[in-house]
Amino acid sequence: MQTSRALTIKRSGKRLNFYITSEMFQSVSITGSQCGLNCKHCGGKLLERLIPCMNPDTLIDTAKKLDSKGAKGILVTGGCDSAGKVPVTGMSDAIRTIKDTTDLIVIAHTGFITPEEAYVLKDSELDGIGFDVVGDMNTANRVYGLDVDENDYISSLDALSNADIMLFPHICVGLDGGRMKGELHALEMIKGHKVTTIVITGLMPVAGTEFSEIKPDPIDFARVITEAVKIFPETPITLGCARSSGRDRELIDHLAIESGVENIAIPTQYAVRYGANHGYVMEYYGTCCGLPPSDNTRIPGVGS
Amino acid sequence: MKKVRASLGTLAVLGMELMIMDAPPTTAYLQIYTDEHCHANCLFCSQAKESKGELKHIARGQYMPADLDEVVRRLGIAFEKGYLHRACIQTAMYPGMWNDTTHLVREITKTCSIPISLSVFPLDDPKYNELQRMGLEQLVIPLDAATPALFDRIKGAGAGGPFTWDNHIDGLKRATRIFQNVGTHIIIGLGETDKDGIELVGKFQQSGIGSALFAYTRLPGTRWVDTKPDIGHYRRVQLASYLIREELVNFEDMKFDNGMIMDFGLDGPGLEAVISNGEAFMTTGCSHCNRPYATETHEMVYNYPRPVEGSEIIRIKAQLEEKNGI
Repeated sequence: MQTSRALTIKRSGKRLNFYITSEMFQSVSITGSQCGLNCKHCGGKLLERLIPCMNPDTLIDTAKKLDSKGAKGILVTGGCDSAGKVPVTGMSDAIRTIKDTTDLIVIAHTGFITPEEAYVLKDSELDGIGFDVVGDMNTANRVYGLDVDENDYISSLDALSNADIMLFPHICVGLDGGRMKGELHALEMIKGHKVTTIVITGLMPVAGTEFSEIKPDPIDFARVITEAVKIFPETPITLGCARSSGRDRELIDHLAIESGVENIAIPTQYAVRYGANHGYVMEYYGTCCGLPPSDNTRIPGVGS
Repeated sequence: MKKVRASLGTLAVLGMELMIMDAPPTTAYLQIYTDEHCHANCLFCSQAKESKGELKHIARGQYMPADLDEVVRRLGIAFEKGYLHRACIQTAMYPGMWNDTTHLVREITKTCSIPISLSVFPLDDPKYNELQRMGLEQLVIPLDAATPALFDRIKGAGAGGPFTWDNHIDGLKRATRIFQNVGTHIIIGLGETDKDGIELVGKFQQSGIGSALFAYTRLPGTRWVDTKPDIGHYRRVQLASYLIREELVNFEDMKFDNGMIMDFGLDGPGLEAVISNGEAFMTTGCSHCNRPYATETHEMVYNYPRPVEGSEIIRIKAQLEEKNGI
């Protein structure tokens, strides 16, 4: 842990970038609360809280409204079809219109994606894509109910990388019912692709799902993050918003900072205090955590 | 974009941040938005004029700037679904605070009938009347310090702040003539004795003013108050306040020695029953206020945001026996 943290500090200095989306970066679901997978960790519950935008016109209207209120961007997400694809390509014209007529940053979750689809999204001027990488195909089968092989993940990563879309893959620690399975291998699968950051998330005990009582082991975050820093010495590593719950989030934040994470979404009070006590420069940004920190997205009125 | 500050826990309940909590808030914790430090200068506060702390902090809570319209819209849904039962509006002293406060109250009352509490320094009667007409359910004037001398040192002239004890007491008394529900906040751990805190709770109880207890929380960047946290002291004040609030014992029937409570005015089995019930150690304040982790860490819970469990009662009993001195 010390070695990996030293690597991060050497590259970026002693700083922590905190991400909060609520003010300026809302998420919209292009499938409403519908999802064809009904995975064990989510059961569609996480879609219910998003702004539903189920057709291109609603998406454009919603985006314009948010833009006029000063939002910085939107995350276009939604449920998957039975093959693990979010139908974002069907919204590419709407995304193009949003990019042409507003100042919003637009990013998306796509799920599996072909090279053709990746180029269509590149042409829509979509700013970035978050893509969940599962390193153990039995986990993908058990949790997502997907019958996929490693090449399906690699070819999607290739497609996004080759289309030169900003890419920030996600790895979910403890996805397989709280146990570590393919998380470290997922890092190997991502290696060789052009990524802006790797977002480490973790299983959350979502009420009403099969995993509602299950939390990942906080130490597994340290294992994944130290390895990520080692494999990607030039890439900042990010701790995503979705990670366990309650007290464990504090332990995870502690271990993640000690392991050399540079960006944290929705930091716990503990993380903020730890950063202050250990001399970190801390800034807040109003976007999803996959996007690099920039002066345009810094949240004013938060620090002193 | 018109902004409002909302605690991270509130934003999570509203579905605006993706976070799952062990103890979700049952009240929406909001603060009117400004990007400048408060013109008041309370020693303990991160937002105080001379504090170098972060503006987003109220005690440990992180209040992030959020889109006011969206927060209010979602508040309506959360109230209807039974996730949130009250909206708590906190303020700060700056030009424009009155307009920002009334705007937020109006926007909420336009959207839903969730009861609204406002925590604010003393205002004049016409303003109280206006707030009452707008539908404010409870007015809270935080006294914070338990004695006039402490008040002066922590919130008044001694701290370079504008407040006086007499004006706060007057503001509370005037409020009781206009609002049905009036409350105050008392921070325990600023250097007061058991007796100072308990006597004040007793006096307010007689005047129909509710007292919410907070534990003093040292925040980075603030001008710290020179005291040591004392969980025994906190628990004793909490327990005695509960007995007074529930009208089980009068302050006059409690006995003190050198400021420390010696006799709660209830016999052994009676006191044991009250302690074991655990309710005395839950968060106090407006109805449905649980403010999870506002002043607590996971290691040290002063106010339980939910019913207290058996193992926690054992710990509380041990804490009640701790006598570190004040």
